[in-house]
Amino acid sequence: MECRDALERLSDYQNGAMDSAAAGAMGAHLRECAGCAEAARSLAAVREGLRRLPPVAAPPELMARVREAVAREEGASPPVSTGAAPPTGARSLLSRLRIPLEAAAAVLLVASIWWYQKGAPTVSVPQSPPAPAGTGVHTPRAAPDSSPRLPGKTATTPERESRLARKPAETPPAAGAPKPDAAPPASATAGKAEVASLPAGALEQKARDRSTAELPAAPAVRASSEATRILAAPPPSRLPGTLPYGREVVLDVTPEARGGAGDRIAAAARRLGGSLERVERDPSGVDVVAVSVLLPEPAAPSFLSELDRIGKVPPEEKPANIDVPAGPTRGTVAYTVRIRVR
Amino acid sequence: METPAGSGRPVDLLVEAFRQGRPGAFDAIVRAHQDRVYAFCARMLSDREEALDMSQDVFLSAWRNLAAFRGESALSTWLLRIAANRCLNRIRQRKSAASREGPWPDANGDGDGPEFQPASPEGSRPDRVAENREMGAILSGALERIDPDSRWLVLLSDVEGFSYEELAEMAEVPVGTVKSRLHRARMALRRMLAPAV
Repeated sequence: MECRDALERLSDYQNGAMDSAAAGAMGAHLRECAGCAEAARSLAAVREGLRRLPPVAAPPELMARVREAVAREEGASPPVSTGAAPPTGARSLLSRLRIPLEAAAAVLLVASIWWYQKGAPTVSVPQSPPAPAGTGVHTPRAAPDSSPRLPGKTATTPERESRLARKPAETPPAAGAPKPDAAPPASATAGKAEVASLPAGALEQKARDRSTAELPAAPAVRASSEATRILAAPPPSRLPGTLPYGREVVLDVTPEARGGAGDRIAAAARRLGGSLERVERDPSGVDVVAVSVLLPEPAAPSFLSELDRIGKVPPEEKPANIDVPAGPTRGTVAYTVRIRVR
Repeated sequence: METPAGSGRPVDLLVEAFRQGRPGAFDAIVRAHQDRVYAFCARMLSDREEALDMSQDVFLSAWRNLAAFRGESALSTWLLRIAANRCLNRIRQRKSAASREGPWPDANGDGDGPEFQPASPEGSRPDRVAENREMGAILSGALERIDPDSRWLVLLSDVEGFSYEELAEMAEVPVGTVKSRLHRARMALRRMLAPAV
């Protein structure tokens, strides 16, 4: 037996996985060849060392952190004990109820703002300075800063955006990597949302359109049909960020494609002249579960075609009529693409 | 006690209890597996905080998906599979974010890859190596330096005792590929550890 063959088959020899003739030849070679014998000895030492690696105990805080994470997912406030979770029934019921409840809350909020504005003359409010002539911009009452910014998007916005840009993409597992685990349904993983900045033009346009409305725009108007679910995009300055944004589209991706799906969706929107609005991650902060984008309306069909290249938009999720305006302004369309692993 | 390839009866009972809504069942599952999952993540990631994050992530994923767990493999196999995937993703994220760790040594066993370099010159002195033959620490250092795609195989095979067949099923590659990849990784470890073994 040649040394090269012997070295190639040392593991098999040590595992007892060679037939008797080959094992005999290997044994004879190891008796004669000091180099291969030394390799066999040190290989055995390495394997023995691996078997005897000292045990590692999980830090005590792991249990507490798991409980907290599960409690957050359940929507329970005090993480007491994670008993049997209702991963299917109760949670799916909650997720089904969530959107109607949010819509009802949003309607209440709008009504209260409207009531407040109607009732305002009875309250002494300092007169806002008039808007510059010719701009057509009306300074909203009780809005100290009428600049077109999203909530919280102050001077830190570029930093947040660059942080988003730096956030590494999840790379799909290479061949030979373990099969990914089953992913949770996207609807059950409402989580962290990050708001990315809009192009300056889009922000200004949004602000102009909002300011011309007599009443605040309805935050989320849902027109459901069997084939399409359309949501008028909420004015971001008045609503919590967890409301659905724009037209909701479910995108089925394979477990392997999940990692980079969020980035690819954002890139597709940018290629088509749109912008990334929001990235929603699961509670672990690792997996992207939804991406919200803003697009010029004519780019909507191309965007849907792009989605079909990234994954598969189930037929029941395909908007029947993509011409229905669903964006915050006339001429723009907003989409929230929910990533579902199938 | 459950074995990697075994029936996993005690854990199956816990899974059953979890499905039946028994209070504390998931706590019991975490308690039964947390050391193993954390140890794997710590050895894959070589970072305590990241290993903690990852272990939390693994159990959260398990909590979400236990209802769909069919018990075709032992629960520990399933959990470690999740852990392996998550850790590999995290390692790739690190590499794409900043290539601060440099290229992985070649684990092909041809002797072309960089040799294991102990952290400090002091530690590389033969007398020191001879003095401090703490194989655990030395092996952990060497494990950090092999390709992550080989590292998880070594950890699951030689540390956790998974069979080649189980690994082949997990990696979706033929058994022969698992064998040869593992052998190359072990030979690379052997070369790295040459002064110590």
